[in-house]
Amino acid sequence: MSAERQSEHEDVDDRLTEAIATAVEASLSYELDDEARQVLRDTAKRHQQLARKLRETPLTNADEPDFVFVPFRAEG
Amino acid sequence: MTTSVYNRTIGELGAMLRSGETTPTELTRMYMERLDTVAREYNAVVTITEERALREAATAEAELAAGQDRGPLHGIPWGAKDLLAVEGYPTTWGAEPFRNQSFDTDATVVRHLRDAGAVLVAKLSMVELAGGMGYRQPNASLTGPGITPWAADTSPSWSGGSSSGSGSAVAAGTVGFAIGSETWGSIVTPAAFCGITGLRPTYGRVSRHGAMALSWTLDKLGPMCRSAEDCALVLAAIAGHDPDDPTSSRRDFVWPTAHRSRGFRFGVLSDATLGVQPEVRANFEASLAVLEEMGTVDIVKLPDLPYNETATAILQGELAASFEEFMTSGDVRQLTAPEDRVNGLAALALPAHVYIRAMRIRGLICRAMDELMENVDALVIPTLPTVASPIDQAFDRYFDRSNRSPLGAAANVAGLPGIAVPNGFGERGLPTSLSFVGRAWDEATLLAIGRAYQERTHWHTRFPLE
Repeated sequence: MSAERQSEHEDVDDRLTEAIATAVEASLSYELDDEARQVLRDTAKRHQQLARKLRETPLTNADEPDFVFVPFRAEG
Repeated sequence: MTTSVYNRTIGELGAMLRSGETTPTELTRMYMERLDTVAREYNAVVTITEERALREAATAEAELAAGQDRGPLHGIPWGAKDLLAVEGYPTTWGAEPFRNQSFDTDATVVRHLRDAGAVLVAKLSMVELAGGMGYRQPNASLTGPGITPWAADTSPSWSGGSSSGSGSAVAAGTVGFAIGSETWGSIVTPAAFCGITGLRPTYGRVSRHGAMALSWTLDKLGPMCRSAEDCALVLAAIAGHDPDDPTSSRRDFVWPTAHRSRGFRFGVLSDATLGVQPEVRANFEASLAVLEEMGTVDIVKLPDLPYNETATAILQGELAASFEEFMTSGDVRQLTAPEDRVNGLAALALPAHVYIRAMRIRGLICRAMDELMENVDALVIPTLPTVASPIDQAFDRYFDRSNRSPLGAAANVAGLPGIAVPNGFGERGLPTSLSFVGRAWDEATLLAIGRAYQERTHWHTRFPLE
């Protein structure tokens, strides 16, 4: 990966990470201390990297998620 | 040398009961006393289910005396990982906030074992919330760090998790067998570190009704025992469709099968011993020599797919749903391990499309693994790259997680069965372990492999305590 592309990824990662961490903090009924806030951001950043790795696997529209929804109907 | 009653297999204990050498009540009392003394030294016990145990033992005694034989588990003392609901007793999930939680009904697995005549003697300790919050060191349970009974005096080491108490209790001879669970490693890891045999069944083979849900599409319940044969006997009792668990399969599990000890086809992963400790490598290579007596051994390579990332995304997405309120309310701050109080929070904002993408890739992984295994009965690998880590060390200080084979992730994402059997000893006198991963629904072949391996080796007859 070129240095420029790497830099673009990191920039997006940082903005997304901050947005995600802010969203999580907003959902909590309590405040995090500085250490916890950093752990949250570090984890969120790893999730960005994880998501990018998953996007490297090509999928077609026909590749369905591996669960099957079956409409329910009671017996009788 | 006569094997201590505490280290005997289910078959051996059953023979003692039927010959009159002991009775279910006597055996139960002996095991409960050992649980209350020995097992507590390894932080393996949450609750001894004394009243229920004595009642079940008395029933088993009367039934056996009257000629009503429910099968090989009749009268055998067993322990339940403390994420299984048992009526009348706390079910703590290993977590301080749930210390007093109880349910008014038995989990389906517990009910099956009661119907098989087994005697529940204890709820066994576990890593809090089955490790889903991302623990990084052994002290991650309301009962303290799980300790393997091996070399505990000279080099106290982690039992493995999250089925920590199940592993230690079986190894220490304080239960005849145990039921553990695995989302990603939680049966095979303690089986390895405690030197016992653990079976992770195919996803859907055993009902999860009444078990704490961490990750609905990854969680499996399975037996942890002193031998592969014992695992087969237990699986036969607990497998089967359950209307209360719509993911449970109607496929039959048949045991015993015709005795098969050779003619197996093994696929050894090409990077199986990358980064493993020297003794782990040496014991693995010695194991391969045994496998060559049992069949053919070929080198295979995992297809290039994002196994770890897929497993992580699925686990994170599902645990965020399982424990959303637990985290947002702040109850998560009561967990024992400091990292468990914060590590899971980011999962609350994992985008749905990331989870669903992982579930789409999951389908590719399932088909790729099945294709890989078309010409083999089992993939073979060291269960873990190291022996158990010291009890006072964070895991990352002892082993580099990047050395861990992606087969664990691949197998759990694909819902494939696996069995871990002891295969020697390594650093600090601690056990090493060998894993076989089978095709979906082929536990019978895996168990036959485990049994055949154990007929040729005797690591499973070595015990840390008499």
